[in-house]
Amino acid sequence: MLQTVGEWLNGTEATVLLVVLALATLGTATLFVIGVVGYRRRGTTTYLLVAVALGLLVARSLVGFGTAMGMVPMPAHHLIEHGSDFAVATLILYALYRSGAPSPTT
Amino acid sequence: MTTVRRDLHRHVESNPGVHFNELTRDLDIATGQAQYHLDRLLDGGRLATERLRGRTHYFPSGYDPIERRTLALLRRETVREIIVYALEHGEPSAAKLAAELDVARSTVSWHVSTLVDAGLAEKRYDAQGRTHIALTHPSKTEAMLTEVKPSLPDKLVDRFTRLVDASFPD
Repeated sequence: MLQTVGEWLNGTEATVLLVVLALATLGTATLFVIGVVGYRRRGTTTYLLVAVALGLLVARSLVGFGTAMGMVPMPAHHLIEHGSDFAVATLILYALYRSGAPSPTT
Repeated sequence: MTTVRRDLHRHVESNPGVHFNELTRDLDIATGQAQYHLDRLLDGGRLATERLRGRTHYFPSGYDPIERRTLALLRRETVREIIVYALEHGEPSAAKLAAELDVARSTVSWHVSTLVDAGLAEKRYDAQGRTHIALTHPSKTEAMLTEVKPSLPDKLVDRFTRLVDASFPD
C-alpha cells in the first residue's frame, strides 16, 4: 500500500498518516451513524444540522485518504478541508442561533 | 427450517424486543435475507412484532401487546430511566423528571409521548396545570425490568439525543 501514497510522503510518515486517517474515519463514521439515527428518530432541523456537520467530518477523513493516496491534489485538499471546517462551524452556529433564548417551563 | 431462520428465531427468543438493525448486526445477516426469514417466521406465528417510533421490534410468541411494548421501551436507556423513576416515585411531574434525571425538558417530553403512544403511561394534570406521568401497568412493567437491558449502540444514540436536546434547546 505504501507504493500508492503521494510523492510528498516518506514511508514512515505515510504509515503514521494512514493509521491516523483510519482511526479518524472509524471515529467520525461512528459519530455520523449515531447522528443519522438520532435525526431519523427526532426528525427536527437541529438534528439534521448536527447530522450534516458530522457527515462533513467523515468527508474530511475520506478526502485525507484521497490526498495520501495521491488522488486529491494538495490545493483541492486544502480548499475542501477548510471549506468543510467553515461549513461545520456555520451549521453548528446556526443550530445554536435558532435554539433561541430560554423560556419558562410550564 | 433453514439454519439462518433457526438462528434468527433463537436470537429473538433469547433477546425479546430486539430490533431489526440489531438482529442483522448481531447475526451478520444481509438485510434482505433477514427480512425474508423474519416474514416467514411471522407468517408462521412463531414471532410477533411491535413498531415503535419508526423501529420494528421482534418478539417470540407468548407476550401480549402491552408486554411487548414494555420490553421494547425498556431496551432504550432514557425512557427506561423515566419508567424506573415513575415506578419508584409514583406520578412524577415532567419538570421533576427533567430535574432529577438531569435531561432537557424536550428529552422528557419526547420520551413521555412515546410512553403515552405505546399505551404504557398517561398524562395527568394537577391543580396548577403541571403535567404528571402515571404508568398504566406499573406491576407488569416492574416485573419486566430485569428481562432486558439497553445495548451499547442504543445507549450511544440515546446519549447523543440527550446531549443535542440539552445543547440546542427548542
